[in-house]
Amino acid sequence: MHALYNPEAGSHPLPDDRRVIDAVLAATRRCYEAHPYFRERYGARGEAFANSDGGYLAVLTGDPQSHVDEQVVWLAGVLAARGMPRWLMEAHLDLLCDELCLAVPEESARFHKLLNAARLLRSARQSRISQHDFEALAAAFESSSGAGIGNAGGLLVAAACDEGCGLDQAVSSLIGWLGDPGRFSAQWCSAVAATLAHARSLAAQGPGS
Amino acid sequence: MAGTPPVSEGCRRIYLDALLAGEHQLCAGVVAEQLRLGSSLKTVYLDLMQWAMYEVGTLWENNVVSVATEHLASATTETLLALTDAKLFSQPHKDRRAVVACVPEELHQIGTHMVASFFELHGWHSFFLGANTSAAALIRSIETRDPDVVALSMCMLFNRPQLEGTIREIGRQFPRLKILLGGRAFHGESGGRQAAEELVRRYPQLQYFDSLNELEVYLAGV
Repeated sequence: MHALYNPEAGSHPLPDDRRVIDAVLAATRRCYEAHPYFRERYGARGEAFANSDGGYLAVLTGDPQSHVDEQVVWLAGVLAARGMPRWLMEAHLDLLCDELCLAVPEESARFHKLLNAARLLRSARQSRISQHDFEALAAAFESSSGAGIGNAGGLLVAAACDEGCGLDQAVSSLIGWLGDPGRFSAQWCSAVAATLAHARSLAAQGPGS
Repeated sequence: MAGTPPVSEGCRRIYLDALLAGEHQLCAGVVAEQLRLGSSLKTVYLDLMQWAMYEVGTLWENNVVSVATEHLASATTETLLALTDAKLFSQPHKDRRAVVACVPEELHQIGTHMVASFFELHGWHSFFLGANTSAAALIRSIETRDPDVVALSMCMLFNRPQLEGTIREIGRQFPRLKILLGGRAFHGESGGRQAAEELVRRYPQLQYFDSLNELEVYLAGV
């Protein structure tokens, strides 16, 4: 069976080149290491989706940039409504491009379409909250939340940005899990609420206001 | 759709709620009532069934309904299309034939089914081969049915290589046969539309239709 095949993801093309397949798997591993939230919440099932999505994205780079952008924006929106803010897709695309260029350097030009698509998502996020404020809010959460999941502050701020961009389910689909008092400490949940309130306020104003 | 009663917003909502709840009988009742009021099948297809399935797709994208609910809605819609087919087949037909199919690997067949029914609505004999039709099966069907046209539908743009393989195979064996192409894959803001334009330039046998309305104009002129 194909290493990236995921029966739950339906029928879509996957790469044949073993180097590309290994690069996709490596990108998923790095993404999961950088964002422990993925494994904590979605486990092996989520990893299978990350692999099949990564395979599809790698194949997609054979298409014109406009189509890559369209598909990435669509997929990122679908995932954002399921608890994965588009900031995670940004990270996944950066890592995918990195691994693919390392594995198949002669095709770097087409893999860079993924970076361009990531730039689109980044630009949308920064249209709600500046990168400086984004990082400051995320860091403040990390220092005030106590024990929990690493690198989660960025998720909260990113979800507020997505919501500010019109993705109505972005926040509720994240905090239903990440702010669940049955799963996390009172200190953590209180930091989630405070960070989210601050991020929502900034996102509503837009950067530079 | 002049001269045929439109589907009211209230009726659409009742239908959509029933579709999401899996209430087949209520859905069938809404369709039957709309037809009894004098709406054309085209109105029912486009303003009720197609509208509702697009809504279901949006609800799935936004994680408001599950993939299981989406599949249930698709199955219900297929059943309703089959029920309305009975009305189509009883009307007079002319000596025109169309083979209608989804390209290989394409699993979304509701729109294609509607296209096949649309041919029937306009007095053609249509032969609907369904989802994921291999080029070999399509060629065999063309040999058997001797159609005036072949209509191909594609919902996911990533199936384009399979589409092009099929077009080339038809062109090799039936160079004079007209191929009609349509489907949601080509409705995208950029990639889809561009792909349709490229395909029409590349394959002279091909004619692209952006909507059922465009197909209707074509059928009226044949």
